[in-house]
Amino acid sequence: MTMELIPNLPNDVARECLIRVKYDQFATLLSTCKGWKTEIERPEFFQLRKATSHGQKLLVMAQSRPHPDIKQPAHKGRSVKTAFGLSVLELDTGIWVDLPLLPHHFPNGIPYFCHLVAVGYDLLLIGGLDPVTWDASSSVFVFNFLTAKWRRGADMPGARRSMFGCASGHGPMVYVAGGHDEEKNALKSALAYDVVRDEWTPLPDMSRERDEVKAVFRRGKFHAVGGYCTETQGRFERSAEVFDVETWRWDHVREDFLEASTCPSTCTPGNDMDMYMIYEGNVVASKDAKWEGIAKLPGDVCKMSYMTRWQDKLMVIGSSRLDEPHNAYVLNLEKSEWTKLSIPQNYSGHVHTGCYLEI
Amino acid sequence: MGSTSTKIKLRTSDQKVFEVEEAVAVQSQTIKYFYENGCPGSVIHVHSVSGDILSKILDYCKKHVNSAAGKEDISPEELYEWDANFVKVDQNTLFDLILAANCLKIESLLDLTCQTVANMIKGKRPKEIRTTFNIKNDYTPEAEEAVRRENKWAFDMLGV
Repeated sequence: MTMELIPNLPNDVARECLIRVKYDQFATLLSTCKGWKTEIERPEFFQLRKATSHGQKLLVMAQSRPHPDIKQPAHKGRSVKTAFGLSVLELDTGIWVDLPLLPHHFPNGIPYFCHLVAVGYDLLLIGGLDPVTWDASSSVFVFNFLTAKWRRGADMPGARRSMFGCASGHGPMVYVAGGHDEEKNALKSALAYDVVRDEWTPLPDMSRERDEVKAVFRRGKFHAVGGYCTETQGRFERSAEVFDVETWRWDHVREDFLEASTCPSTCTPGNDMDMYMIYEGNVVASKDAKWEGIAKLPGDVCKMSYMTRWQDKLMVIGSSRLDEPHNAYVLNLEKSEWTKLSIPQNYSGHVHTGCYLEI
Repeated sequence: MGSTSTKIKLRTSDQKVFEVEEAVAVQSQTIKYFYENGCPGSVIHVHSVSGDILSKILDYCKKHVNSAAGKEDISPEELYEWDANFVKVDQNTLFDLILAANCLKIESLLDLTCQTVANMIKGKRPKEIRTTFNIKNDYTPEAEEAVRRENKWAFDMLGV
C-alpha cells in the first residue's frame, strides 16, 4: 500500500499542497516524515514546482557587508577589510535574507571574485581569492537548498586559476574557462565539473588565452566571451568562441563578437536576443552578431556591478559613484521599462557576482 | 453563450437538489462536461459532495463569476480578502472543499485551498506539522536528529 502523504487526501492532491510550500520550508518538510522526504527529493517534484509556477525565483549574490569581527581601523589610513557574504533576494516577494555560511569554511567571508552558479537545488561557490592572503582558491563549496546544508566538492584540478569564466550548463554540468595562473599567465585551458559525480574533466583548449573572460551558457553551448592574453595584459579582445557540448569541440572563433574592446563582465545570455551587456551607460543587445541599444542605464546604477536576466526581466545592480550604497533596477524587456527595487540598508553593499535560480 | 437565466439542477450525495445558474455551475469543469454531454434538463449527480459543501462551493463560484462579469463591484484586493475569509474554516471542512474542488475540477478553488494547506505548514516545526495533519512520525529518534542536524539552516530561520 502506498503511504498517504497527508491523511484523508489523495496523494495527487497532497502533492498539490506540498509544491506550494516555500523553499525555506523544504528542510522542515524533509524532517516531518520519510514519505515527505522521498516525495520532495524526487526530480518530478522539482519539475512540477517549476512547470506550475510554484517555484521561487531567487537571486543569490556575493555581497560586501560589515564584518562583525573587524573593528574600526586602528591605524589612520588603513582601510577596513571588506568581508563578502551571500545575500538572497526573493524576486517574487522582494525580501532579502542572508544565506548562512559555515564559519569554519569562511572565517573572513567568502573568497573575493568567486563564482556562483546553480545546478538544480545546488548553489556552487567556485574559486576566488582568499580574503586575507589573496591566494587563488581552487575550492568548490556546494549549498543544497533542500537539505539546507553545505558540502565540499572536489577541488578544481590543475593551475590555481583566478579571474576565469564559469557557467552552468545542462543537467549537472558546470564549465570553467580561461583566467590566469599564479604567475599571472593567461590560460587557454578549460574544464567541466559534474556536480552529481563530483568529478572534473578537462575540455580541449580554447584557441587563445583568455584572462578575465566572461562565460555564458546558452542553447546547449558554452560561450567564452572576450578576455585578453598574457601579452596584451588588460587589453580586452572582441572575440568570442563557443564550445559545443554535444561534439565536445570548440566550434569557431567570432573575431568581432563584441562591438568594442571592453570588459565583458556584464554579458548576460538572452532568450529572444543572443546576449545583453552594458556598454557606455546603455543596455545593449546582440542578435545575429548585430548590437543595438535597448535602454539607457538609470543614473544611480551607472557604476554597474552586476547584471542578470530571467524570463523577460533584466536586473542591474550598481551605484551612482564608487563606494556609494547600491541600487537595483529591473528592466522589463518587452516594455523597455525600468522599475527600481527597494533595498534594505544591510543589503546595499557592493555586489560582486550573483546567480539566478528557480527552485 | 447561453442565457444567464438558464438553470442547472444538481443533486448531492445527501440527496439535496440545487438549482444553479448555468454560468455559476459550469465553473466546475466536471459539471460543464455532464451538462454539455447529458440530456437537456436532466439532474446532474454530484455523488461525492455533500449539500453543505456544495452550497459553500456555489457561493465561491458565484462570487467569482459575478466579479469577473462585472456584476459585482469588487476590487481584486477585496476578492482576495473574500477568498482568505472563505478558507477560514476548520480542517475537516477545508479538506472536504479540497476534495470537492478536485473532483468537480474547479482549478482556482483547488489552488486556493491547496495554498491554504501549504500556509498551514509555514512557521511550524516538524512535530507541530505532524500533529496538525495527523502524520505518523516514522523516523527513529536517531534518524530524526540526523535529519534535523542536516537542516540546521531551516530551523535557524524559523528561530527554533
